[in-house]
Amino acid sequence: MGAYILRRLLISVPVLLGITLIGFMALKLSPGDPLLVSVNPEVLAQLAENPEILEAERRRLGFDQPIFPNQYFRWLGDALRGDLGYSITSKRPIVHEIGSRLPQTLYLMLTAIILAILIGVPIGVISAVRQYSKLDYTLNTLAIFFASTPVFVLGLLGIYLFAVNLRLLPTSEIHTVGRTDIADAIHHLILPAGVLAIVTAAPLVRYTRASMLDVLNSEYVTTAHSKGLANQVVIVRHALRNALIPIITIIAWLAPEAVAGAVITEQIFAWGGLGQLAVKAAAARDPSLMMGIILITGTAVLIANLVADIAYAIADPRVRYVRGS
Amino acid sequence: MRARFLVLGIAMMLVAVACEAATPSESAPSSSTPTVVPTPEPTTAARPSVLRVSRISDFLPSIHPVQLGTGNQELMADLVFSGLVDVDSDEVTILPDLATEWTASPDATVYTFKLNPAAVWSDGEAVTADDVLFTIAWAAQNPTAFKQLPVDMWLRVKGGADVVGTKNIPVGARKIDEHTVEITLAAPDATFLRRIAGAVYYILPEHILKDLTAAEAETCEFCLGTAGVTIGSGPYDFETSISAAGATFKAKKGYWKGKDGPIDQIVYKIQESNVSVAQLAAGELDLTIRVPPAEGPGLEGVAGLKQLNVPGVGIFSINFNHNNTDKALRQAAAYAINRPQIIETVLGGRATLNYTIPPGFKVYDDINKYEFDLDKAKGLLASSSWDINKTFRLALLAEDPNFTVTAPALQQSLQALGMKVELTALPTAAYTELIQGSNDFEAYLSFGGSEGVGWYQSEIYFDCAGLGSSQFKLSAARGECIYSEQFQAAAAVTGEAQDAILHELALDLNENLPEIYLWQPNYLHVYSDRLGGGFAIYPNERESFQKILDWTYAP
Repeated sequence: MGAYILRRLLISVPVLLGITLIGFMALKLSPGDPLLVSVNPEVLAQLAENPEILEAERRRLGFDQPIFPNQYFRWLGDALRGDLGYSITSKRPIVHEIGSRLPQTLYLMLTAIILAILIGVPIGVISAVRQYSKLDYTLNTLAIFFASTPVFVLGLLGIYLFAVNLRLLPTSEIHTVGRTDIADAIHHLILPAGVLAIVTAAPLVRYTRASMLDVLNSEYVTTAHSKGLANQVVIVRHALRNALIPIITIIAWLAPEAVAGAVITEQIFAWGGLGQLAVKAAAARDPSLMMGIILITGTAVLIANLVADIAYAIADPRVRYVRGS
Repeated sequence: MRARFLVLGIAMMLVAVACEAATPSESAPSSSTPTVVPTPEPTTAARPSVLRVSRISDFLPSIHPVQLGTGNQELMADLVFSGLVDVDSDEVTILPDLATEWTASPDATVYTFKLNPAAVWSDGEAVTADDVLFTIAWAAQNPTAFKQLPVDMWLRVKGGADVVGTKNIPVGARKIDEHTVEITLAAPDATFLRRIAGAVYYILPEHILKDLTAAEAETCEFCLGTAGVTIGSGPYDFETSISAAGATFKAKKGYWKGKDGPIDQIVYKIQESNVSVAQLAAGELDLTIRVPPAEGPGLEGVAGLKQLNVPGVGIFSINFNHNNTDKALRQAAAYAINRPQIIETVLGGRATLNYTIPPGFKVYDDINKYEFDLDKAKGLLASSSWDINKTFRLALLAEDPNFTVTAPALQQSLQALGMKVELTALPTAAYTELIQGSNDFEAYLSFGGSEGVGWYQSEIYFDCAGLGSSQFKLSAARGECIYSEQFQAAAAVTGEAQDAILHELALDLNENLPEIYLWQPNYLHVYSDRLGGGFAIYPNERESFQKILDWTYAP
C-alpha cells in the first residue's frame, strides 16, 4: 500500500505540473493587461504620460519576459520555495491570502460532503431496498428535484425562509463578529453546509440506489438470503459493501463538484473562503492569485482521487495495489 | 426504524444548537416580537455598543492615500485619521478637525492653520505642525505614487514641483510654531479648504512614516490598515485589520477632542448588495450605505429600519473617444436619447435628469437642454463626418447594473438615428484596457465620481496634463488646455467673477459635449432607527463619518 501511495504521488506530480502550466498559459494569453486593473482608470492616464513608470512596474513584476519558459518557470521556482507571489489587488502575499481562507472552505466543504454522504448513501440504500414503493418514488422525486435545482436557488430560498422570515439562522458569514464560540459557528454553518450537502447528496442518492439494485439482484445476495441470513445483515454486510466501490468513485468526484458548488455557496452566504476569493481574483484579473487557487484546487482534486483509490482497498480486499496485478 | 430515530436525533440536536445560537447577540436590534427585558444586575458592566455597517463592494485593501480611491476606504479613513478640517453634511460648511481655527488671505493663496494642541496619535505622540509639513512634502516629493485619488491641493503648494524626487519641503509649506502651519499655494484657489476636507488629505504621522518610500507606501503594514500598526488621530482605531470583507474598529477612550466615539465598536462590512439586503431584512445590519434603490420597497416593512432615498452625486454619462472631435455626432447622440423616458421606464424614476453639463454646475438659463428631438438628431448626424455604415462600438462594464440595465435603451436610441450600434460588455480588466490601452471604441458608458458635490469636483476630468487626457483630448485637440485653465481660473476667484467663468465653461461643455451627462442615479441608504443625534448621510456618502462624534446610538 505504501509503495502504491508513493507511486500515485509521483504520478500526480506531472499531472499537477500540467494543470498549473495550462492554467498559467490560459491566464497569460487571455486578453487584457493585469497591470492596468491595479490602477484607477482615471489616474492611469497620468501614468500613461510617463510610460517609463508603467514599464518599470511591468519589469518589476516580470511581465516583460516570455510567458514560457521564463515567466512559468519563475513562477514554478517561487512556488516550490513556498512563495506564490503577491496579489496585485490586495498587495498581500498569496500564501497569506489563500492560507487565511483555506480553512473556511475546508470547514464548509468537508462538513457538506460528510453530511451529503450521511444523507445520500442511507437514502439511496433505503430507496433500493424499497424499490417501486411509495417511499422509493418520494425519495427519488426529491433527489431529482434537488439535483436539478441550482445551488443558488436553494441558498436564496434558505436565506429567505430560515433567516429573513423565521430568523432562526443567520443570513451569511462564518461567525458573528465578536463571538468565537462553537454554538455560533454551527449556527452560521447550518444553512450554507445544509444547502451544499443537499445538492451534493441528491445525485449520490441516485448512484447509490442504482449500485445497490445491481448488487441486490446478484446471485450471491440471493444465496445469502437463502442461507437464512437476516435481511439487515445481507444488505449491510454483503450488498452495501460491494455497492460501495462505484459509490466511492462518485464520492471522490464530489470533492471538485463541492469546490464548484462552494464558489457559488460562498458568494451567496458571504462565506470568506477560497470560492469567494476565486471569484474576486477572476473579476480583478489577478493572475498570481488565480494561479495560487488553481494550484490548491488541483492538489485537492488529486488528493481526493488518491483517497478514493485507497478507499477501494478498504471496501474491497480483492483490490491489490501491486505492479502487474 | 433505528435509522429513523438517528435522523430524528440529529435533527433535534441541530435545532437545539440553532436555537441556542439564535439567542440575539448583545448588539442585535430588537425584533418586532415584544420581549421581557430582565433588569440588569447592578454590578454588570455596560454592554459595549456595536454598529454594523455595510457598503457596496468597491474596495482596495489599503488605507494610505496613495491607494485611497473607493468610498469604503474613505469612510474607514475618516474613522481612523483626521484632516486639517472637516466638512458638514451640507458639503459646504467647513468644520474644525485637527485645526481649531484657520485664516485665508483675501486672494485665496495663503492659508494659516492653528492645530489643536491636545491632538495626539493613537500611540500618544502629539500631532504637530511637522506632521502636516511631512504629509504635504511627501505628496509633493512622490506625486506619481498616488494611483487613485489625486492630491492636487498638496501638489499645488508653492514650490511643490521643485521637490519632486527630493527629501525637501516645498517653500509654500511653513511651520510657524509647533502648532501653527502656513500653506502658500502657487496660484489662488478658493476651493482649497473644501477640497482638503476629503479623506485623501488626512494628515500622516511623521514619526512612523518618515522613511517611507513611494514603493513601500503600497505594501507597508501601516499602509494596509493593520490593527495595532496603523495609527491615526481619528476617534477610532483598527480592532481587526482591513481585508476584502472589511474591518472592525474600536472607539478610543479619552479621545483628544473631549468626547469619545458614540459607538464602542464599528463592524464595517464590504460586501455585495444582495448580502446586505438579506442582512438588513434579517436584522443583522444597522446601516447600509448605497443599497440598490429597487430594493427599497422590499425593505419597507422591516421593523426598526428607516430609508433615505436621495439623488446621488455620481453621474452616468456617455464618454466619447477623444480621437473623435466631431461635435455634430455628439450633439446628434444627445438629441436622440430620450432621457426622461429612460429614467421613468428603465430606472423606475430612481434618477435625476441631468442637462448635459457637469452635475455640480448651476443650470444656467441659456444651457441647451438637448430635449429629445429625433429629427434634429438625424439632421446633425447627416451633417457630421460619421459614416452610418460603420459600427458604433459602445463599451460598458459588464458587472455593473448601472450599465447593463440602461445600455440597451441607449443602444436603441442611437439605432433609431440610423446608426449601427454594437454594445461591448466587458469585465473590469478588459474594460479598463480597452479605454486606456487600445482606444478601439467609439464611446463608453461611465458612472461614478462625486461631481454632483460641486463644480470643482469635475476638474480632474478636464485636466490636459492629467486625468482628462485619458478620456478625451478635446480640449488639447483644440490646441489649448482651455477647460483646465477655466477651472483653475474659476477656483482663483469667488462670487460673480467665479460664476461668470463657470457660466462660460458650462456653455462650452454644453456645446461641445466631450461627455453626454445623462442622469444621476438615486442612492438609497438604509439605517436603524437607533441612530440619531447628528447622524447624517452626506450627499457624497463617502464623507458621512466625518461628524461621527456627534452621532447617538440608542442601546
